Parts: sequence; structure tokens; C-alpha cells
Amino acid sequence: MKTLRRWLGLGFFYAFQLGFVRPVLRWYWGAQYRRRSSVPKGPCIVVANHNSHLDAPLLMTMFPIGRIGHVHPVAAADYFGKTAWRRTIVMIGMNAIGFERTAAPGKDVLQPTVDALSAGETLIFFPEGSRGTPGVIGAFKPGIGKIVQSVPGVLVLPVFLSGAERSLPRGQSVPLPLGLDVIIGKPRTYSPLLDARGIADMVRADVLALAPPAPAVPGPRPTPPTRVACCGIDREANRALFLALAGRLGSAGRTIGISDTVLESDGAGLRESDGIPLARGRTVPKLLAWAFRTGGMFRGNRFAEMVQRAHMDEALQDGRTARFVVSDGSPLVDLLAWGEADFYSGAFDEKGLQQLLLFVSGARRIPLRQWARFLRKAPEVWLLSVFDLSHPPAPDVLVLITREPASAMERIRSQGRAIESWENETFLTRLQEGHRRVAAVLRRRRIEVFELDAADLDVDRAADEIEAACRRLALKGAEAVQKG
Amino acid sequence: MPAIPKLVIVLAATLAIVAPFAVLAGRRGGRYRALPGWIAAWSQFAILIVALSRLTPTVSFPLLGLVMFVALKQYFTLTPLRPQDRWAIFVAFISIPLALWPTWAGSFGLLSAATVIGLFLLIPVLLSVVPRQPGLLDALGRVLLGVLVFVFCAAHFGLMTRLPAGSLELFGITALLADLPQRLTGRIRPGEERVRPFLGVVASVVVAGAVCALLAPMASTARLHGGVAGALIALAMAGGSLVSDAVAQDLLRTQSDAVLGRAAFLDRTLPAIYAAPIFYHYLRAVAS
Repeated sequence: MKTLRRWLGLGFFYAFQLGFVRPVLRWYWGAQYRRRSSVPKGPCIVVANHNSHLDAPLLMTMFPIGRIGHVHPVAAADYFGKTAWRRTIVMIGMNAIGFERTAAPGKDVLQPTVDALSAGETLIFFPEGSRGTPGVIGAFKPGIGKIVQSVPGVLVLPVFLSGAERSLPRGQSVPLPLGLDVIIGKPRTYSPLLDARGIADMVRADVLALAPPAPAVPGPRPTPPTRVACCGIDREANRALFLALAGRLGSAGRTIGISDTVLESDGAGLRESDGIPLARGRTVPKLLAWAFRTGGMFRGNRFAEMVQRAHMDEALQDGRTARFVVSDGSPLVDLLAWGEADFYSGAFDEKGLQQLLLFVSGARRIPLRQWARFLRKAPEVWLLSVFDLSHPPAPDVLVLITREPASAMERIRSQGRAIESWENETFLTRLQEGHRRVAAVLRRRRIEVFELDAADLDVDRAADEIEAACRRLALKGAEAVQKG
Repeated sequence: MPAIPKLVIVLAATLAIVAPFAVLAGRRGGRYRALPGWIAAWSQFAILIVALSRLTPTVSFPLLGLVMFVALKQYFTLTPLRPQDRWAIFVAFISIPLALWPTWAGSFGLLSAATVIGLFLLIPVLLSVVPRQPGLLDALGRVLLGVLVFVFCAAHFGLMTRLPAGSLELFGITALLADLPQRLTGRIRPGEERVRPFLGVVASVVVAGAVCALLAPMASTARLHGGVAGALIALAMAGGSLVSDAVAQDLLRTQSDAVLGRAAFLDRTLPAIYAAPIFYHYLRAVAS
């Protein structure tokens, strides 16, 4: 009898998956998958954001038919075990493992999931717990961390689901045929030595990193953020002013600070941000930088970092995330200054610089006849333009911190790190001059420029002045948006 | 074995000539980069046109309905509405069979009544009935544009089956050849004042007018009217591409990752669908 029930259940499962779930998701919703090849061949935990009843079936369809018998969504037993109908559809039709959300005394609710993983099965897990508010990714509960700790070395596959929150959100019964997108990340392991909360936070960051920027919904459009960039050859002075500005502007509105790390500030102090959604990684720019031999300030990985920072800057353009964006350096300004110093060798040609600005900002493509010249002298600009890697936006306020190149060199030497080939007095002089020329070009484009001397820099006073300018610009921007 | 109509052969030959050219040009990158995808979309479109023209309505109309459903689905995926506007989207989908029924009966009057009264008046009510109203006009514009293009204009392909035999293929050949010069020169984009795209439109009007005039007798239409219809198709397609670019600019300018390859759909389908009512009404009202 038990065997017969098992076979009947299996028959129902395959009939439900192949005859209903897959065709409906494919033809009614038109599900699309990105990087499906990243799905591991062996057991793993698939972790995704959760906004809809479509999420688990959608994740099941990522797997080939031959494997779906070994894939189990983890479902809340108190909800899905309530009625016979739900039990049949979810526990049998979806091959789910029941999960008690409220633990009985002395019972480990995660044990069935750990057992399944140990037996070589794959789990679909939604660490948010429930479907939550559509489009909002809540905090991940530490349960995922505990499972990872219990099964050391288990692969976790982060997945971002988009569209299901609009097609069938919580509280709705009519499923609308709107496109569903499944963005699959790279499988990875987490150290079981970390605490469960820490692992859950890392998993959430990995899922969030796959999120594309949200599409613009109707309604009042937020004002684009006011951008401030601290540039110049003195990295320490740039950094000091950057931190001061990022902290202060937080009291006027949510501020994102982009430096080696991403910071955020909203009046409650400056802290590390828990992630700006970034859709693209560094691999492609890094490979291109290596293949086309970018050099100096933008050599190899640094070029990839610059591209990623430019992406981040672009992603913040919609104004939904931050009111102010403060950056330690600016991809656009630094690349232009580098181009001016290296490409034009300091021989000022404003027309050339204007043209370079158009190429770097993506407003114009480098014409074919100039490719050889750019490839030879400024492959960084050529790569950005030809491969459309990013369109770094111009700042609204440029803070240019100058310093005597000789004194800047002394400071670099005193840091005790290896000096790079381009870090010499002659080139720093040219680079600083390049920054000045870029500032002059941007000033003509009505960008507010503050030129400060690092030798007598009073960080607080300068930050006061720049903060006032930023607030004024933000107000002006908001008024302009209101006027349409 | 039934003879293959001449215009079907011409349509297939046009595709066969343009396809390798488009694939090769696509390798040059820049504005030619989208050409291989564009010709692939046109091949599918040509199959739909031939199916509508040659198969019985019991087969071809459900096919047209399916294409309209997929198109509307892609459109609403690209242009999200407010969460509270679900019923308006639902009614927009329901409107597909409502629009196909009058086209099956060959009645433009009924189609107008169903679309204008049933949808253009009903949808604003559905959008207004929800409690929170920020962004109402924006949402209304999004739904109505979707219904206008992918239901009302697309339903004209069904009406075209009532025109003299071969008219659908004539439309397909002309629209394909009208689109090509505009793609090669770069299309007119909102806010841009470059000369080359305008030259593309002029070339498109000349090519489409000439080709349509040349082939019009095969679709039992006078050459003069064929020429005018061709020119109108070219102009309507320029208008359609301007609209699709403006919509893309409004929605997707900085969000290339948000749409995961769905954005090209608007660019490829909207201009041709935009031209369908103009061609149909010109041939019906003036030429016949």
C-alpha cells in the first residue's frame, strides 16, 4: 500500500510538473533565465528573494527534468499543510519538504532540511520566511546560516527573481501574464565558522547583487541625486574631505559614499552600506583590461574597479536610493585627467578634451578612423566607448584638492608602499594640470567647482561650504522636477 | 499541388536577399548591431502575415491572438504599472478576444466600438476606482498606449484579410523595405536633429513607394494607390519608431539590465504595427 501511494505520488508529481507547471510558466508567463549554466550539477541550496507563490515553481523549472525529483522547496508546514488541497499541490505536486516555523520544545526544525542535504538532495529555500511586501527584499533569517553551518561545504546558489511580485503578489488571486526573469548567480560556499546571522547577511548581499535596477513605475519621479566628487593627486586629503562630506550630507537626506567600500549615511552616522544592487561583475572589464593592456592608474583590476564604480554611480541616477552621492574620486574626472596627462601629454587642446568627455560619458562613440590612435595611447577610453562598459556621470559639484607635486611625492614615499611607475613628480604635475583643465571644461558646463589647496585645508570649513552648495543644488533639482 | 502565390514568393525572396546583408552588416557593430535580430523578427512576422493571408480564419485568428497576447505581455513587462492597477492590465488582456471578434466579422465599426467604448472609456474608470492616485495619468498613458498599439492597431492585421488577396504580403514586403533604409541610416530619435536619419526617412519613402507601386497590381490595386500606400507605410513606420524610442528613453535609458533582452521587442514590432491601420484604411477608403 505504501509503495503504491509512493508511486501514485511520484506520478502526480511528474504529471503536475511536466503537464502544468512547466508549460504554464513557459507559455503563459514566458519565463526567461539568465546564466542557467551556473546551476550546479550536484546538491545545493537555491536561495532567492520571495514575493509570490510563483517563486518556488519558477525555481524548479531551472533544473532539467531528470533532476526535479531530487529538488525540494522548503515550505512552511503550518501554512501549506493546512488543507488537503494545499498539501496535495505543495507537498506532492511540488515535492516540498515541510518546515515548522514554530519549534516544539527540544525539536530542531531545520533537521529535515539538513538530512535532505546530507542525502544529496537539492533544496529551494526562501530565507525571508514569507512573501512579504511586493518588491521589497526583507532581512534574511539566520536559518540559512544554521543550515550552512550544519552541512559544511554545501553549495549555495543565489538567485534573484523579478516579475513574480507583479504577476501574482501576496493577497492577489488573478495571475497576470507579465514576464518573469530568473537571474542566476554563481554557486559558492560559506565558512561554517561564521555566525549564522553573518552567513544570512552575506547570502542576502549575494542575492541583492544580482538585482537589476527596478523599472520605473508611474508616479512622481524622484529627483536625481546631487553628486559630489573629491578629486586630486593627494589621496589622503581627498579621503578626509570625502568622509566629512558623506557624514554631514546624511543629515540632509540619505547619502551614499563611494570609495573603496560603499558607505551610507542618513543622519544616524556613517556606516558600511549593505549593498547597492549591481548587475555586472568585474570579470569582463578585467579581461578586457588585461587583453588591451590598460596602464598606470587604470591598470588591470583598477580599470575593472573604475568600471564597477561607474556602474554604481549610474545605478544611483534614478534617485530612489539616495539624495546625495559623495565619491572619493570620480571615474569621469579621473579618466579625463589621466587622458589629458597621458594621451595628450599635457599639450592642452580644449577641443580634444571636450571630445574625450563625449567619448567617456558615452554621448558619442569613438569614430573608426581614430580607433588605432586610441588603442595605442588610451585603451581605457577606447574600451569604455567601444564595448559600452559604462557611462560615468559627471558630478554636480567637483571638489579639486591640489597640492605641490613635490610635497605629494613626499607623502606617497612616507606611506611606505611600493611606488608605482606613474607616481613621479613630473607626471603628478601633469596629472594635476589635467585635473585643472577638466575642472575648467566642467565649469563651463555649469558644474560647481571648488578648488582647495591641501596645504592649508581646513576640512570642517571646506565641508561646511560644500555642504551648503550641495543643499542648494538639491533644492534646485527638486524644484526643477516639480516643474517638470 | 496548389501554386504558391507570387507575392508570397516575392516576400520570401526579399527576406532571403535582405537577411545575409543584415547579418553581415550586424558584424560592423554600432547602429548595425541590431540588424541580425531585426531580420530574425521580420522572418517570424512574415510567417504570421502569410498565415493570416493564406490559412482559414479558424487557424490564423487564434495565431494572431496569440501574437497579440505575447506582444502585450512583453509591453506590460517593460512598462510596469502601479500595483493597484492590476484590473486594468487584466482588462487589457481580455480585450484581445474582444477586438478579434469584430475583425473576424470584418467590421471596423464594431472594432472601433469595442476598443473606443469598451476600452478607452472603461480603462480610465478601472484606474480611477482604486484608492491611491499618485501617477494616475502616467499609468493611464501606459495602459492606453499598450491597448492602442498591441490590440487596436494589431487587430488591423485581421481586418486586412478582408482586403483583396495579396494585400497582406504587399504590406509585409513594403514595411520590411521601408524599415531597412531607416535602420541603415539610424532612426530619428527624440530630441535629435541630425540630418542622416531624415535622409533615411526620405529614402524609405522613395523605396517603399516605388516597391509598393511596382507590386500593387499583384494585389489588385492601382499602381498610384500602391505608391501612396507605400509612402504612407514608410512615414507611419518612422512615427512608430520615434514613439518606441521615446518610450524606451522614458523607461529604460539607464536600465539596460532591467529588461534582460526584452527591450528589443518594442523596437522591432512597434513601427510595423503602427503602420497597419494606415495601410488598411487607405486601401479601404481611397483605393477601393
